Amino acid sequence: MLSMNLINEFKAVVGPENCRYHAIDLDLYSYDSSPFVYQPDLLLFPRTAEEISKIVKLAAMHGVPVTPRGAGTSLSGGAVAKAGGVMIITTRMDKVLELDLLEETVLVEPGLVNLELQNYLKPHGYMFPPDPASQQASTLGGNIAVNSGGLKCLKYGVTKHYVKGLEMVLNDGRIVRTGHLALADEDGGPDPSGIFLSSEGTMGVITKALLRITPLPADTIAVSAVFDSQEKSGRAVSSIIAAGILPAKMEFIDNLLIVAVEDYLHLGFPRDAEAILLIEVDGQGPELPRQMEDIAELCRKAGALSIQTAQTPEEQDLLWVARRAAGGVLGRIKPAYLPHDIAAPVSKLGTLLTTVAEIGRKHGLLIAKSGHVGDGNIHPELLYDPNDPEETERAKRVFTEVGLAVLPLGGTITGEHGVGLEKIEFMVHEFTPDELEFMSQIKKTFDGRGLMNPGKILPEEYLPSLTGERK
Amino acid sequence: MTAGTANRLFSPAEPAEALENIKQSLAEKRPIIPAGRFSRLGDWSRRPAFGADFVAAGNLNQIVEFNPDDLAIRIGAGATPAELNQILEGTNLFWPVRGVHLENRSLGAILNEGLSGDEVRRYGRMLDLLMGVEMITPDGRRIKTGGATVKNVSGYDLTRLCWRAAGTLGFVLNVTLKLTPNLETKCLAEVPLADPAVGADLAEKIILGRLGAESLKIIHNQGWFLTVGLGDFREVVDLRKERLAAILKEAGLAYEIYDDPGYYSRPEMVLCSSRTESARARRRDLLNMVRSLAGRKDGDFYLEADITGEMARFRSLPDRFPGVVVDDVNSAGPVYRQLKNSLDPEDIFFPLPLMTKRPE
Repeated sequence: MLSMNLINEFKAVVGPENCRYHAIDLDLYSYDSSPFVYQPDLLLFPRTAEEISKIVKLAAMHGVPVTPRGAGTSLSGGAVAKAGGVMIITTRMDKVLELDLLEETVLVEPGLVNLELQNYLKPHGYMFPPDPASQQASTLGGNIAVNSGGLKCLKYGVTKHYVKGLEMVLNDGRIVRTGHLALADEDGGPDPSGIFLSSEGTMGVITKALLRITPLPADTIAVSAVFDSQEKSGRAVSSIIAAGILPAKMEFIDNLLIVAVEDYLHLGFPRDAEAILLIEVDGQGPELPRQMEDIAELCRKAGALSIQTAQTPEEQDLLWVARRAAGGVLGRIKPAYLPHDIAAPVSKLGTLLTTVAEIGRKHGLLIAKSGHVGDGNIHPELLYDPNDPEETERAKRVFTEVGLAVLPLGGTITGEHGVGLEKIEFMVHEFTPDELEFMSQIKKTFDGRGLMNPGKILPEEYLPSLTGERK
Repeated sequence: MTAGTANRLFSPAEPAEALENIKQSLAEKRPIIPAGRFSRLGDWSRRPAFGADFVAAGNLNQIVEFNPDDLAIRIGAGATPAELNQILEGTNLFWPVRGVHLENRSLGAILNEGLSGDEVRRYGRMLDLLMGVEMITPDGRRIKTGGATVKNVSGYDLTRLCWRAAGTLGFVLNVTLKLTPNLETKCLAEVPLADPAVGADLAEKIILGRLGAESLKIIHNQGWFLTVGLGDFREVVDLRKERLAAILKEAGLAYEIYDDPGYYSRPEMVLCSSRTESARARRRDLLNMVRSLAGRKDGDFYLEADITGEMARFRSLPDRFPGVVVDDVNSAGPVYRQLKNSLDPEDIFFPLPLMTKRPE
């Protein structure tokens, strides 16, 4: 709980119109897109880096925790205020500051929504490739803070590959610039941007980002390939990659989702199919039919029952609407689900899918599986009824078992959602004590008192305490 | 720093041996200088009385893990891009951070120096193709981060820690790299120029016209040239050749096309020597620099301005380039020093770059 005097000091920084602390406002910001609920003590909506700097300095002076937040679409609890304190919401810093087509860069504020940037770039013939499923709502600051992925990562990479420079406010209020935003000497010098990317707001607040953009492809072709077994669909994925073809998108949905999506969108997907691959190639145009023919042939050889090409742009869009609807349609089956976003090397994907299915069968829990199979990232969604305590507990146990199953395959517990609060339990399994200790040392370098987005990423014993000592 | 004692050279063949070597140096508080295989340490490494331990990665050049289906390879940091691409021959895959200037650089050195290949515009920097790193930290821990998945956001991204850190933040044992399917075809268009300003204008036009050039360079080597690298599927390269021909015709310029050129760098432009200097700048600044060099006497300098890669390499220039505009705001330096002071408080790992003066 903050004193009224302190609240007034924060209010003076941003102005009364950008400060909220009524119970209903605080309740609204107790949530993100994860099941975690923690209430902040004060909501601040700054408009400049200088305001954020003053907020952070003031918070540091009084030992108040700071939680940075964009649109609150985190699926892992990254955007809730675990230790209360001040929440810095960047949604009012939402401008495109500069577009430079010669440099192929765009300078943006952190609160700009991903899709708004795409819409801004489109008339100029450019795109920002990372396209997380939340792109209609999620902000670029949030995308950078968790290094968001999306559907196009096999060919185009993830958010970090498009960040050329950052402006950040560190825990002592310093405004620092890294990468190309700080390019100052001919030798370039070390670039500390890397450790700030995907640090989930635990090292500072992003206030500007210089992003690389790429030309929009001239054309795209998309197909859906239907399989009677997940194993065959996995074989098709491997053979496409082994043939040297890099589709822009290569997505997978399993039978549970096929039926749910079909009930919702009526696309004509066969309800008895065990797996469908949705594949899109993009490029200049003349090379695409040949590429897609090769893909179709490889799918047939792997055992595809049918392959259908989207004939119009509208049909293509529908395929991706179907894929993006995968989370929402699960509500038709069960009222809640625990989302995983494990990733494994592509060569181990078949094993992973089989293992996850076996775990679900063993515990009698429905697991819907979708994923960006081209890059090895799958989303097993564990369906349960929160009103059924036994099933809820069972879902939690399965969540742990599924997460642990990916590690012996050389995979990771989180491909794109971030660790936040949700995946902390896995950190001691994915990393050695030395590795966690080293991460802890880096965290302490930039936030020795543990005030920046406290309680996230690292297990408690590796986080700094408010006195700067290890707990 | 133990001045007056002799240098030592460790050439570990295994990660465990490297760890042992480094722990020994740390225990004795001797400066550690991570080195590659053909390192540019040059005259520093020959100084007899500096008292540092050179830890060379040259023997750490073996494949650790490789499955072509993963489009990834884990390989010792002492391997060079040329060696790596030799290993990949026959797999339909290649490692795209390549160029004449990288022939003799170890992967660990490319990472620590922050170098880019000829095809940086299409494939990105080494950093963008780096999926994992195993390294020894300045306090002597052997850690592994990342792996053979494109997506991995578990914990802090330590894979990027060593980028451009010049060996000051640890010793890289091996790297996991993202590989790329072979190109169907590639070619290099070379355009002789009477005036570098024409080349700069053309380069600008090519970028803004979204020709899709993989490499775009303005070169001065006994005359000015613009080179345009094109590589992709056959149909795409044909299309781009046509568009390039139209642009050059409109400018009234002749050109030659070399099919399957290997590197997009010109072999005679091997600039990896201690006399080489390099500059990083924004494309606009590089183009302005090229323009400002008009009228300089032929033969008094060599230049390779990689416009898409935002890098210029030059040699034998009596003065610094005129016209490279640099920002006077550089707050990344203090942030890096904060990190260095925290991770290596005794300044053991490669203290040289942090010294204001090289040791006598």
